[in-house]
Amino acid sequence: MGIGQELRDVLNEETVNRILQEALARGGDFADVFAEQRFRTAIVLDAGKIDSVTYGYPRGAGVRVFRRNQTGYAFSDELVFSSIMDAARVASSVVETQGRKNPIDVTRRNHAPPFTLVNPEPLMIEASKLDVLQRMDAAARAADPRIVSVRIEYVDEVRDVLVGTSDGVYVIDRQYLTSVSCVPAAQSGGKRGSGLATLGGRVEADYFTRVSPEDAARRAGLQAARLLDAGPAPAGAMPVVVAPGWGGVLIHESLGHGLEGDGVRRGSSLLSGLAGTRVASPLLSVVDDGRWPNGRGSSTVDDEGTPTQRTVAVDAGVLSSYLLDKQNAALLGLRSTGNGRRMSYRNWPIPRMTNTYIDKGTSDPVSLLSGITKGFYASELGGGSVETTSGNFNFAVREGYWIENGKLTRPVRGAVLVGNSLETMQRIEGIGNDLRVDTTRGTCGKDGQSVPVGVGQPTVRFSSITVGGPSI
Amino acid sequence: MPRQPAVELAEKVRIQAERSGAQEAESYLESSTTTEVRLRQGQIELLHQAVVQGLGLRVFRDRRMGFLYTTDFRETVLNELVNRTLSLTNQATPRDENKIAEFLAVSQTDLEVNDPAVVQLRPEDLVRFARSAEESAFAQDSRIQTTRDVRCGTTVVEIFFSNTYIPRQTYRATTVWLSATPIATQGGQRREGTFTDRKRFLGDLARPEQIGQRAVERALARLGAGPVPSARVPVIFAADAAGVFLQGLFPAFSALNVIEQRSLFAGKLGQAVASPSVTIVDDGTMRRGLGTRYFDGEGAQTHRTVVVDRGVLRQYLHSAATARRMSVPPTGNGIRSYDSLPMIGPTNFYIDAGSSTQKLIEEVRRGLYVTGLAGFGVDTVSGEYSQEVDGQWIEKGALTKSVEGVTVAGRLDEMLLGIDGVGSDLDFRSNVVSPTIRFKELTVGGGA
Repeated sequence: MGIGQELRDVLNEETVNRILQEALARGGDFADVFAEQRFRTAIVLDAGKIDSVTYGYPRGAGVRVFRRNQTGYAFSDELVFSSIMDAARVASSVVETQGRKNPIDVTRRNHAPPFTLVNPEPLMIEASKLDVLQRMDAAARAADPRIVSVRIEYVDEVRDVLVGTSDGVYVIDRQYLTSVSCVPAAQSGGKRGSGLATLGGRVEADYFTRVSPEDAARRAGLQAARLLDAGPAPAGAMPVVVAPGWGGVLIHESLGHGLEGDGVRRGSSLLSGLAGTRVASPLLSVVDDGRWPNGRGSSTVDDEGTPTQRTVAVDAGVLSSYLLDKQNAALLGLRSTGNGRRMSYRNWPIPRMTNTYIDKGTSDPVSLLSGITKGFYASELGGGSVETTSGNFNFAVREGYWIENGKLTRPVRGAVLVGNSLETMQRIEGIGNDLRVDTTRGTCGKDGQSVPVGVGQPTVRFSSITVGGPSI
Repeated sequence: MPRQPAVELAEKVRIQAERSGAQEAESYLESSTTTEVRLRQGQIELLHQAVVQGLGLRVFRDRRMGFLYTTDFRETVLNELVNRTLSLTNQATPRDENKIAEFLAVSQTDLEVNDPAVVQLRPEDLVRFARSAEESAFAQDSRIQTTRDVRCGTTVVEIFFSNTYIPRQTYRATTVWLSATPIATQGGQRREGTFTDRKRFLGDLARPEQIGQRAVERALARLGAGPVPSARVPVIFAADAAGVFLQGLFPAFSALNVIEQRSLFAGKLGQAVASPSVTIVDDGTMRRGLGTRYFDGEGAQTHRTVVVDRGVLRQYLHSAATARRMSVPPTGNGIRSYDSLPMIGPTNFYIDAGSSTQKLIEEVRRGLYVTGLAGFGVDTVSGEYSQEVDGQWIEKGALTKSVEGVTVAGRLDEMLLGIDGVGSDLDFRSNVVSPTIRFKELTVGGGA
């Protein structure tokens, strides 16, 4: 069956036109219909046993109407024309103006995908998925005798989406996504520690022959064991160097959310009105790329049917572009940058990051440690958050090291790092040439909607960040 | 409210699963309507209506478990999904605890989770509440020129549960909420404050004017904030912050995490894990509680469980499976939605109220009063705690300047044993709450 055929059976160009006509019957600047069907497989392995196997099959369609800053949204869990028409009527009730006469005529668009998957991973047979999990479990346990438990979660999904918009777009896309997380716990003499390894992305079925799941699991096991012996993290402001790859969660929280068009348009983001001005060290360039190979945030089109793109958001310290969806772009007099994303058909699109990273610099990563007499090296990060009004952000470090006289010395346990976006971004002293973008673990939550994202960076050095350990 | 055929289909599919080789099966149908309006500067920014209907079906064969969920109720699709799931179930490992509940004695008391007045609310009413909350916010202070938004909404949810042994059980629950986030501006500085009230019954909801006012107080309190130097001092968590902290601590009480050695409370039953002033309760039967339900997601009756009694760890919280593994009665904490397996979660989970709140601040010579926690911070495996906070500095028993950009850190075991005061201000605006609590000493990580 063709991609999205089941969606197309209900929502062809003609029925989409009728739904959008109904949605705009009371007026409004714009309407869209978004239909989605997912097939999801989840397997949990805990204590060496396949704990549960899940198939999920959610599907439905939602209709949005907006007039300037006002949005109406309703959806149906039933993919039936009459139910979607009902949703269109509910969504239209937000608008209280004269009816619109212009006929709507959507045309099918085909956009080039950012990369092509020949045989995507979710299509791998179930027995092979189970085999990967069993091998990871054994490898994590073998890493250290103090490993007492391992939990591994595997999820894959095939997501078909269909978008029809009153500005004439009609697109269908299929998106594949796989993620595996492995969490070993170590215990010794009353101390406990946990490790984490993640694998996946929008990948091919032979992915697990090209990366070694055993290596990843072993590293997580060693990390759990290492944390048993690690000392307490320091407290206070000091020089900080953040490791490449997943460390990009730092830029995601500190500047990324502030660049999103909704806060900018409302004037609630601290980056509102700063386009074209210096917001960071001239060493810093920030890119949001919806087409990064295998990235969790990658797709052909966003959830409003706009083709994704590579956006340079900060160019050598100057704010060069916000990250925009259609509605906020219109309100700001700009064009969408392909960042209108939604968690599912039950949610309206809002501006979101895709794969966001600090672009590579010129420094040798090792040289970034030199000259630091006492500082903190964040080798493995956790999650973070930001309040975009103030720019105050935090990100958790799962594992770190003391930097003493330009060298990594003692390992320390996790701690949170905090700062203010604009202050912290001025304090960048050096950026490595070792850019890595993580495609395996990012999930970003905003306004009750979770979406998969990629983050990345090279090694980055800051003159000062506040480290929140217990040790003064 | 649910499309009636769906309820019948859910039963039919379960029975069909049993005929196709599932020895036991359980169906969980969730049907809900959510309406929310968001208002900003007097104008409706969002009107959202969500009518949800989803089915979760668990099947068991030879003590192996499989699960499927869907919103597609076409009979052919359901049949196909059941068959696929049964065949995938053969790949799972048999586990003794994979067994569904055989009977359910539902409470005969009215737990008061369904308020017809909430069901009656129309979008215009929600707009009216939001408008008066926003207007009262603007009226408070000239430094409040805008809001991020004001949100008002309702949810009406209906649960249908049945399994191989238990005939169909159902209940309906309502929720109404009102939340304001004004932005205070002074010089170039902008700070927001949020105050949210959430209740089962409309009559229990704080007046919109109060919500606007409390949110403004929070935003204004944050103006002019800055870091303080690093120090080890007494730290007070105001009630809302303490509730967020308690939420982070919850996984430590999960019996699954205890069994798998992922909890700092593993092996601590019967021991003192907190100071004698601390009693922690999980109560799924509390009248009008936001976490109250007649039965949990796998058909276990809900209970009031004293988890920590005057500092001593008395019980872990269980799903049916962990209760069976540890040979204890289930606590009714198998929490789920139709699209997830039951996981051990809180019902109404709280630190019980103590004596006086004001005294907690007055007794501190020099310390930090924390009103907000941000991001992740509680590691219930290793027992480490480190989090971004904001609040006010305490000098000689009084609140002085506003503080932000700092962290607090400690070891959870020492922190809990070091709680030397519990306030009386317990207020159920969420299903996980705490009164104000004071830690004898924590590390505050500050600026240079």
